[in-house]
Amino acid sequence: MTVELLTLLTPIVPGRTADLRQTLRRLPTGNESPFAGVPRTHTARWVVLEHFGMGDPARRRRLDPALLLFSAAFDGPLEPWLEDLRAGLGPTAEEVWSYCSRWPGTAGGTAFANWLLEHRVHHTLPFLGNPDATRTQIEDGQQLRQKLMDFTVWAHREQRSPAELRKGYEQAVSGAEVPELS
Amino acid sequence: MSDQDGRVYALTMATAIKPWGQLWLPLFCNAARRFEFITAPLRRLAFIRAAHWTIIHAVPDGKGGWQPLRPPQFLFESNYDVDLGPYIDTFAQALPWHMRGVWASGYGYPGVIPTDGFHRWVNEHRFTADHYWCAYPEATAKMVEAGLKIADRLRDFEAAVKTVDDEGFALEYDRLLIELQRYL
Repeated sequence: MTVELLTLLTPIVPGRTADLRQTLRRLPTGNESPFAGVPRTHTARWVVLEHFGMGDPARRRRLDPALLLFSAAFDGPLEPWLEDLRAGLGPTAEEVWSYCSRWPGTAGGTAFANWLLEHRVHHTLPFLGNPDATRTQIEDGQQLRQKLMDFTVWAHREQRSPAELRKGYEQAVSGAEVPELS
Repeated sequence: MSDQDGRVYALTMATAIKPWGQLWLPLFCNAARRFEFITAPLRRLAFIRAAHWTIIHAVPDGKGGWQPLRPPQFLFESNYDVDLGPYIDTFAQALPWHMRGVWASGYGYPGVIPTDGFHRWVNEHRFTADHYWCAYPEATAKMVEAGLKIADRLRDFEAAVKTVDDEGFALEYDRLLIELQRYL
């Protein structure tokens, strides 16, 4: 299995929960998300947890301290990815996790990884749609699919000779970039 | 604050586990890890990229230790392709006994069908992500699958056409298209 999953629960310093929430909600999203700079990452989330049992007043339990949930799906192994996470998040790691107790900072790589792993919870049942596909393979697959669709549209727009077909394919699909097909 | 990035949605929820569930859930989850037929229907639904269930018995206390959580919580995190309503409805219709196996030991569990009650229960126990991101947000799980199949098949195709003339290429291309049309 290539893809691994990680979930962490880190304790938030008392009194800092609202500030952390604001910090997280101010982070840019999409292509500008700090996670976009972390190689080999498929998905990632941060969620502030203040209560469990939210819908059931009788069993509603306030978490003290509140917790920051971080989880991600990434191409393993774990240890090098944690280093990618530290380097890729850059100052955002400090900006976010410094709201948590006993945060060691990102200066010493090992301390950062150790602190994260101290807060790991192990999944009882993991499920992955494509457990053996790396992020690069998935992204390459999407590009190839698009290139093949573009080429197919071009190839069927009018009658092409076998030689034209081959040349078009080599340019459009095998090539590093999709050329303008007329 | 968002549970969505492009076409991908995040669900994060936690439910308190009844005492019998503390025995049942580890057994059920262990069986699901060992026997693929239990999770095979999830794979066939083809709109879940990654999901995980975690029994949480203790949480960090902020002093370097962990404090017990009573009752324990069943944390569920999912990354999927459709809005929450259709997601729940599809699960409830396609996998009713799996749903019961996973969720019936949760306090307040209302049953899966009709789905209104279950939908409400999920909403009552879900957390909205404060930040969520996906590397390929415009590709659905089916598109991801299709891209991987196409990449595999194109490797064979390109090896096969290396030594053929243009007519042979055109013939191989027709075959390729027939095989891959459902992925385009």
